[in-house]
Amino acid sequence: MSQTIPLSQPSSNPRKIPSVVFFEHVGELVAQYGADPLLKQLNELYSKYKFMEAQLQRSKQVLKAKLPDITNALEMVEYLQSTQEEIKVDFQLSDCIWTKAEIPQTPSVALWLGANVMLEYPHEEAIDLLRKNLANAESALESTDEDLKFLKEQITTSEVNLSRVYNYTVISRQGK
Amino acid sequence: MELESLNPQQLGIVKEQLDEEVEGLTNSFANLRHAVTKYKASKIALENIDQREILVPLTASLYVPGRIINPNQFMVEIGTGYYVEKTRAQSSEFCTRKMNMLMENMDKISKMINQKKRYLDLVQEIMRKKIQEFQASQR
Repeated sequence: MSQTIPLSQPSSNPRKIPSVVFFEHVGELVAQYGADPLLKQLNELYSKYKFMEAQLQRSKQVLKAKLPDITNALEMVEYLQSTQEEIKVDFQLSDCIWTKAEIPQTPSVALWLGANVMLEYPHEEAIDLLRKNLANAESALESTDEDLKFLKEQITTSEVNLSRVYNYTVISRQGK
Repeated sequence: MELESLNPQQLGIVKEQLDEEVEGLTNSFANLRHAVTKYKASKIALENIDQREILVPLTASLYVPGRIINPNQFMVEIGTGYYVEKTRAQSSEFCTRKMNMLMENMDKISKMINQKKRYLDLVQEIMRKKIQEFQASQR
């Protein structure tokens, strides 16, 4: 049975992503665990980081798309709250059809919360909710960016580890 | 093209080319079908509009109760960024025309796809024959 080689360690990352251990002496590591299990586990760790990176990239795209929508909705509700008369709008009926509608003064608006749920809120509450959503989305985007930067470092260190071990095995084989 | 004169390697290249073409055409077909569905949905929306109170979408997640001012007047996007005011009948007719044009293109593409697939089968058949001949000559 192969033993688990300590290739990663807990890090200071707020999302608890482990960081890669950088080995000073590759030779000792190869001698202790054997080149093949070492390379295999290094590769596994590397793929895990890559996979996580792809995941975070995807969620970053989603967040980036949501942000302008929340900002627009917030502005609209604030405008609706401030205006005293009914307003006329052009809205999208379907992909290529738009039509005019008039919106009378209402005390409340309806927000689509997702998953077939829509709730009606008075202006104040809607503004609060949208502000909170906006803040959450912005901080989620920030932490995703932070994680991506951290992951990039770990991926580079993993690649360095992999090539050092590989080169060491090649050299030691040539030496024999 | 004289397929019989090509060796298995060249046939392989022809096969790959054909595979790519079929994939591209199938994608275009799917896109056209998607567009047809959208126009169909637009038509249905047009027919269901009247003067009742509706929830007007102001953004993708914000809706407000309101009323359509003129259920007979619509703005149709006839191209990227070009909008024309049309009556309900005209808009519906526009959607139908667009749908028909797209479906005609879909037919053309599906004919091309079938043609390429038949060609692909032919190439694979000849490849098989060549490989068999080559193996037979080795024995």
